[in-house]
Amino acid sequence: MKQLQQIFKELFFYKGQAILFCLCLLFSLGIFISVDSLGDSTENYINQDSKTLVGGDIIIETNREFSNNLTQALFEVEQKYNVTVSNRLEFTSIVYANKTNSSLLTQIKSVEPVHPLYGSIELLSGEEYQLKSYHVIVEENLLTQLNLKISDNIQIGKVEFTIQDVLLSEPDSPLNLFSLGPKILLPKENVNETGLIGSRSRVEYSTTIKTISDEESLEIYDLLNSAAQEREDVDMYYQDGSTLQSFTTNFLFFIKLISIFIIFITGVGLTSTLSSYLSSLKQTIGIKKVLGTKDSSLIKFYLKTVLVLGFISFIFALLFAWFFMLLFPYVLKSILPQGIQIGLSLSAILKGFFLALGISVLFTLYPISKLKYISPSDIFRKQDSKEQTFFDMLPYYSMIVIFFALFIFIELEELRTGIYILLGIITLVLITFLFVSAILYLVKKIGLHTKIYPLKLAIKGLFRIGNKTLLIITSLSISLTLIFSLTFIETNLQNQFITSFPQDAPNMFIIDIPGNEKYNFSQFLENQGHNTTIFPIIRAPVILINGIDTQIIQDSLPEGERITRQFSITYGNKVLDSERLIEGDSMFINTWDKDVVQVSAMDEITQRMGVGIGDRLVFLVQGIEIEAEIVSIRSRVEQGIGAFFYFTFEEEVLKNAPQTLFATLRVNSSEISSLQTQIVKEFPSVTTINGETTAKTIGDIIGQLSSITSFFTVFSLIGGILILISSILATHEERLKESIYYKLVGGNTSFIRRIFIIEYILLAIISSLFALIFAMTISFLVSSYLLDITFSFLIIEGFIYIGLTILTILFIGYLSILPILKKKPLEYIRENNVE
Amino acid sequence: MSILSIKDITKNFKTEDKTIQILKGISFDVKKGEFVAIIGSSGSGKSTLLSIIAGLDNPSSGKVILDKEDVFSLNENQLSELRNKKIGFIFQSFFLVPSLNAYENIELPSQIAGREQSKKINSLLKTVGMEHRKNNYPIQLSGGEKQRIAIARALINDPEILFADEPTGNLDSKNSKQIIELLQELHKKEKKTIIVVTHEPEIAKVAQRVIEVKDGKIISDKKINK
Repeated sequence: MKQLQQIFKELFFYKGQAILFCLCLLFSLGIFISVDSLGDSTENYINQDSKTLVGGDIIIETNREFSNNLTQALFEVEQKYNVTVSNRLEFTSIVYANKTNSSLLTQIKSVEPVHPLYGSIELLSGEEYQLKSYHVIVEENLLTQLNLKISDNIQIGKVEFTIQDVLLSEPDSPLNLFSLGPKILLPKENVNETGLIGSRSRVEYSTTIKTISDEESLEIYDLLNSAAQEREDVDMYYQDGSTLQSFTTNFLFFIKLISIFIIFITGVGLTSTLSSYLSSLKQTIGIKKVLGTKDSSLIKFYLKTVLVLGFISFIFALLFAWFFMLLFPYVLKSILPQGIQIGLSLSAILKGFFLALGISVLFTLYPISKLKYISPSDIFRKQDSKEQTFFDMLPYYSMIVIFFALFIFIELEELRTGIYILLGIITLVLITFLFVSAILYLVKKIGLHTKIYPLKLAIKGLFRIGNKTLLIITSLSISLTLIFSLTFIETNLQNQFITSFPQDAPNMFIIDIPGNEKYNFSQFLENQGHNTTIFPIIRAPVILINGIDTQIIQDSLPEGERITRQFSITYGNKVLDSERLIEGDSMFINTWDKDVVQVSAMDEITQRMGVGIGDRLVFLVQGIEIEAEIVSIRSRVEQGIGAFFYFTFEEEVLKNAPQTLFATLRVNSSEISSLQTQIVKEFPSVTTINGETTAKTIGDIIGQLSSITSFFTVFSLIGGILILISSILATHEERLKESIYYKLVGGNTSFIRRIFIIEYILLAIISSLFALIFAMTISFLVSSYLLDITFSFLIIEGFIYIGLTILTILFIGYLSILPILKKKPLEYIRENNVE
Repeated sequence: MSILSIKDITKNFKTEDKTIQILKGISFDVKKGEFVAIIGSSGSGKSTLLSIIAGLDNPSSGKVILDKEDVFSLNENQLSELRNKKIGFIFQSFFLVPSLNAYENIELPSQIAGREQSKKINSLLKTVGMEHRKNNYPIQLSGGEKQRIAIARALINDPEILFADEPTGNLDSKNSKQIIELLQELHKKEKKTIIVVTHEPEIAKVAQRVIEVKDGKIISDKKINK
């Protein structure tokens, strides 16, 4: 108890360092606890409500009508078991409002009266959900965009529906971030009358089944699964990988990684702060040693001190996390499911507790253990301590790396991903560390030869004992790299899709034009004064590649490279303006006499499939197998929005296959809306997509995700700044000493101020310039190779960021040197001259 | 001719309940080229007196005229300039900038004055016998070596007067002897005006004049005939 009193007395006496220590820890811990709690809340939401999220105990999904086998099996299930079955169809379509003569692209979900099987639908009126015949329930933004109100009518296909109510939330689709238009709930009994089914290119058919027990569910699942044909997915509720599960949890995990990174960098701040604390206590420690206190007792005492600080930080971190939880529903609105209950989780609090104590001890072990090497006479004589080498600290660094490795593995619960992430973090840190070391080495060399004296002294100052310049620049660079990269990628994406929407690129896409309407449709557009290119589209998967099942090949490919999906293929004999032939003399060979047909393929898909000219693919077109040999390979010249097809056949091969038509159009932006309305009035089943608004919607999604990530990354910047402050604090004594010595030999305040300001500018320039170069490289690679967009180097923005970084660091640095500048030499001499 | 004139200097310190008078009206003149030792026991006020003479501290009353300039009429920047050009300091704790090597520490005052004096630095390094250590940092030097560098630094701008506050206080007897000899040599060869505050009898022995301070007053001011 007495010792605890003594600890608090010392902490109170040097409260500056104590507060900074707690700040470093509580920021990072607070973010970790809140993000981890949020992850737990989402997981609970998904686990507890997985039947609600899926919409039933069993779900069948396909993008065509159910096969006879499956329909038969489903019929048997309904006869044999006590089940409730809900069928639904989902597709996109343009709807038209006669009252306001306006139209809009929407997501239509046609449902049966039993929908939803689990959970409940929330309506604006507060009334119980019951969808009436020839009525629709719509999302609020449909009313806003079409300037309608409840009880007004909208035209969907050939039928006019009355708006019954406004949809606030639907249990099986709690996340609407990726929606390209407002949702409409439409009675399934009316869907055929609209005339939209059958002509659609993409209709998702799904059936959900509610059973009375899990045993029965398994029996039904087995029965249906054995009846399901190719591309008919039957899943139990816990197998279905919903968007929410795959997106929200992954995104939260990504944010959690950022929080772990913040913990790591603020840990460095803990080391500096405690070094500064112990340095302030040198006299006390010297006296304790002289009075016979053993080194081991001293070490134990200061370990207890950091544990106390760790505990205090933990308490404040809880408050901080609680505050964050209040903020999350607003900040993370776009990625959190509707109706999720969020709160601090016990496991996150416990993890936070052990993390607080673990990090406190781990990052301060080195300065504390150094106490045993300090002799009282050195302390009293104010002898300079020996500069620590990398090898002195190696065991402590190793412990920190092992701790974080274990921590990441525990958090991930998956070894391989854990190793990848750990290696990624270590690589990023190492590359930054090595580059920064190299730059500092050069700066040091230049410093020896510069004729500008204040610059020389500033460079010398960068390498003063305990300055942690390398660590400050490394951590600032990493956090700035993250922020800069995100901003550059986002800006490039925005530029690509919105700001610089190419002047001659099509901005209107018309899909689902019935094959037999080709002439009428062309004629209609011509009458409106528009020329268009119309492409036939046939949907077909590739089932064999050189005789091998694509499913087998798919299994050996990385995730995301799907080759078993339905491709939109076309026919024609012309290479599009946006493409060029990169292999083969012409698109097709005139003197073709082989027993298979010819196909021209896009390089993106040949690379993914690992095929080239001469390889043979089998397509399944409406149940008919077509074997084709690749005779030419094309590549896209222009990236971005426009028509392209992975596979193009000769006309005679596919002209009789069931097909829809696709047209692209360049229209004045102001005319898009009215043309869209005219098209939907004339051809109700046709869907028009406004390329500009769609691009804007995509831009908004990117913007939202980027803002969320930046929100958290800003805290890594705060981490970097805390290291800077802790380092300034740790070197306060050294800076003060220098300042007094300069004054004693005649340096005035402006001379000293200039030196420190140059030092901070150097610190800021090196950090931000490195971050800028690194961020440009990362965003260039991501944009060019991952996102496949044109990358422009945002030089002006880059220099603005550098300017802002310099100003921030300069502001903090200048505040810190004010007391130093004010200190009178005599005060220092009195304190430091040994009588 | 007086280079330094101290007139009726007093210094009071206020505590919570009373005012303590540290210096009680001290006056003396120092001639150019004179070597003066100010001695006295601990707490006698000798170091406070030196701080005031050197312009590091303000007196409660009185005047200090250094080379015809009233030290306390100068502002902070003028005081800095005075310290840079007319005064050389030597302290008990050396006060060398840790991030600068021996050469750079000596160079510092001349750079502040805006002068390049590499020849003079090398010559001073020779004078203080530290040529071989010019690239070493303070942490790599012994106490005696640090004090030699501090002396060289004090001399780089060719000051009118050299102030030394317990210059051997942190040194062993061998190094103390060497520093005393160095100061003596500077006085003889360079004709420097030196004022040393000390309680070392050895320094007092080599001075031309010894002023003894007790309880804030000069109790004796003796010229030593050599």
